[in-house]
Amino acid sequence: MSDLRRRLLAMIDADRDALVDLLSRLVRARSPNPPGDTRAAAAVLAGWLEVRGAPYRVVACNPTMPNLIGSIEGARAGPHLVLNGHIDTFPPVAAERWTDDPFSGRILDDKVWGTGSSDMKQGTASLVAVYGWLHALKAEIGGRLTLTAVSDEETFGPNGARYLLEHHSSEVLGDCLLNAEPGAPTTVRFAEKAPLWIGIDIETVGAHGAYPHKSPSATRIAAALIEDLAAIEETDVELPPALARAIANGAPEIDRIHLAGAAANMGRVTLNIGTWNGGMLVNMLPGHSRIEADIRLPWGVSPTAMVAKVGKIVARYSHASMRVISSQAPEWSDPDHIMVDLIRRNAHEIAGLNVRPIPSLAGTDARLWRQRGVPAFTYGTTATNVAMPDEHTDINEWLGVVKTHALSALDYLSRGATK
Amino acid sequence: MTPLADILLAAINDRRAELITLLQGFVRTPTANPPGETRRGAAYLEAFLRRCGLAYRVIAPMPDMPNLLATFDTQRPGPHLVLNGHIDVFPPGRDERWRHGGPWSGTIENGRLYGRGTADMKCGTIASFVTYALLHEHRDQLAGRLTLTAVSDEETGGKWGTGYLFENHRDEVAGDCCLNGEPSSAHTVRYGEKTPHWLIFRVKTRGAHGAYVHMSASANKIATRLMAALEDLTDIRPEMPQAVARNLADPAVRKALDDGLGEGAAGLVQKVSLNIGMIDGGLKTNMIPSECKLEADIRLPVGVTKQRIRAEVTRILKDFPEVSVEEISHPHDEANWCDPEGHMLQLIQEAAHRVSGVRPVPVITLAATDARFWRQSGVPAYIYGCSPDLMGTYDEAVGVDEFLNVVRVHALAAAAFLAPEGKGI
Repeated sequence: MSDLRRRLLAMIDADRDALVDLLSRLVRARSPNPPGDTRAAAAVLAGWLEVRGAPYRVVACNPTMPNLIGSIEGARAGPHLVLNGHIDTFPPVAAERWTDDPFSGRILDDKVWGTGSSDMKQGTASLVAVYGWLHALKAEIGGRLTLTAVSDEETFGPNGARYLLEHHSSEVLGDCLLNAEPGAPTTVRFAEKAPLWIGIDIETVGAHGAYPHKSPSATRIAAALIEDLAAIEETDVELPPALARAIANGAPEIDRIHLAGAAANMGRVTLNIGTWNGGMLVNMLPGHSRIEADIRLPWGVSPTAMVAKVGKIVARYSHASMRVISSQAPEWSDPDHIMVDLIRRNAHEIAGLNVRPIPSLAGTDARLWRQRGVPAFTYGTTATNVAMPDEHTDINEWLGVVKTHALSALDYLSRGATK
Repeated sequence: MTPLADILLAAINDRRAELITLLQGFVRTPTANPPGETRRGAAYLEAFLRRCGLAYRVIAPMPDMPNLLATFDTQRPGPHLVLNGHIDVFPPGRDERWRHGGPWSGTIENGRLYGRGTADMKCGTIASFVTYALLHEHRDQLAGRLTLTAVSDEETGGKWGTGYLFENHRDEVAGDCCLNGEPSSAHTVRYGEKTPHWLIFRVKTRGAHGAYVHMSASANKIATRLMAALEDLTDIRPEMPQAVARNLADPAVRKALDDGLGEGAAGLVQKVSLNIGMIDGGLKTNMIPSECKLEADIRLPVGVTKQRIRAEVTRILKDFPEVSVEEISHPHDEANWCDPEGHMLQLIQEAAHRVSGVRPVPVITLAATDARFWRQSGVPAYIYGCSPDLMGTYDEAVGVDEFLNVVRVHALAAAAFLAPEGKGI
């Protein structure tokens, strides 16, 4: 192991307690989105950088949703690596079913607990810390390292990653993206399914609830429509060979980390009826109902074709109309990219893990880089109870991931010298 | 001497413009419930009583939800008639779906007066107030006692309105008979009603990120299955009392129900109906919903008890371990009725026939009203009002002439009920 790598690992070990404290404080600085106020959490991260003298600035097109960006130049020419994490979290789920306060940030049983502790405050804390350590070593590395900590990944990034890529692209695009969303430290994600969000409104005349013969019921139509929509999950899919191979090779691991059924869901269209509302009062026959469907497209299925398919189902209901809330094509990066290789080697060296490149079920901001042609990879801790009560991150596993991030970034940036 | 009925009809004709303006102003005073803040609506009615020089009391166990109570005694022996109407109305929904100037416009176009609550039941409540004022003017020709009640929260069950009055002022408001102006249509008088059985179902699952559909059942998808399973309730067959069964077997009654309430109403009167009035499932598009709440409005016909429905719901829920249920309607209310051939019913029929040429038939109806408080206390309560066609809809309206006829019928029937012994009006 080179001296530089050893020194980097020593810095991480020295900062161990401060790092765990950083994650704990970051969880306590609640940032559920919606509503998406990330000021307190961004301040925690900024504090870490301040103390270490690492350069950053706040970019906030929405004052309550600040992003942090910063860049350091190495001593030599080399590739430009961008680190990306998000500051916001899901809203806390079912507060009454948590063992502890959903924003406790408690350190207990070698775990950090709370909303966002896994998705993805562990990852963002790791990348911010890596950026700080490499800043201390910048005289000895090549290339350029950019940090982006963004405010609204959970709501697709209009104020965060997307804003930065549109307004500061020369700074944040780079040659390669490393993202630290949770998944499992035995996998590196090179692709993700594409979310297609569709809103469906059902409008009927409505009436008094005792007069069900007077108007069709919007909620009843919605229930029937939801049942019909299940058909889209049967769509035939022809996966590109790189994806088919990765899913086949990774299937046992995919099912282990994401539970049985996950590998099968990778290659098919899935449907989640995320929200369903209707009616105003129990005793009124509802004149409106709204469904928001979260459809996940595998590679090889175009959003246009799926929108048409959903449109055909919706068209069976004269009271229903649909609109596309968000649509994108499923993307993937090269599973043989150098960054994949570095992560696999470093994870093996640090934690003895055999890491497989697999696609991901969930979407991340990494897609925004892939859409712009930049290879993007996600490596993070096990996703534990994300969007469920008792979300948490295992500290020892996390420290292995942090070191893998740090070494892989260092190795990637050092390549300029060996090229 | 001119008969009282003629005097009353002449007075209503003379004051036609004034009465229309009175209703219009009431419609322009928003009283949506929820939220149920009805102070302005009550103040509007109080101003009318004060203009007429009539005494009244405000009974407001909840300061935002005042009820009005007025009474006069003729000092001659006779029955005690109680008029009852509610001040609150359904919420308007989304303003942009209203034409004719929005939900509180009170606009009159082509003989129709538009706005939320015009039919349910500002038309009827104004009819009660006008009847009370007219009969007070002519109290020297009447016997017995007349009481006026205007209540705040009929739309949400009557706990702070009629329910409160019955619990705390029963001697003043129960009387010997109740006349209520809820919508009925000119073709029917309502002598009974189904009862609402309101249930909140809560579906709870683990929940997960929306991309991981194998990790948790979806509360919303279970809710769609639950809705389908609950349809079984509508197959329950009632055991009707004979008087009601006879009434419902009458082809004239069945026709009046279908004419008045729309094709299918006669069938529905005898059936359990199910409406999923509210659904609220999931927090966010990209999360598998861990909770879905359904609010069901089940209406029980005469002959189906709540106990029977509860047993059936329990049976259905055996297949849904993720679902819990809570009853939010009044647990002791049951479908209720009074004599379909009672004295007041006949007086309403005669008054209606005189005013409109239509002799309304006695029917059991679909919707619950505060009339149940009287019937459940053993006091007959009858409902006669405008067409229920547009109640609860966007562009709710009442015909101007229809409104005036309701006023006429109420005034005549009430006066006849309070006619001194041996005298007509």
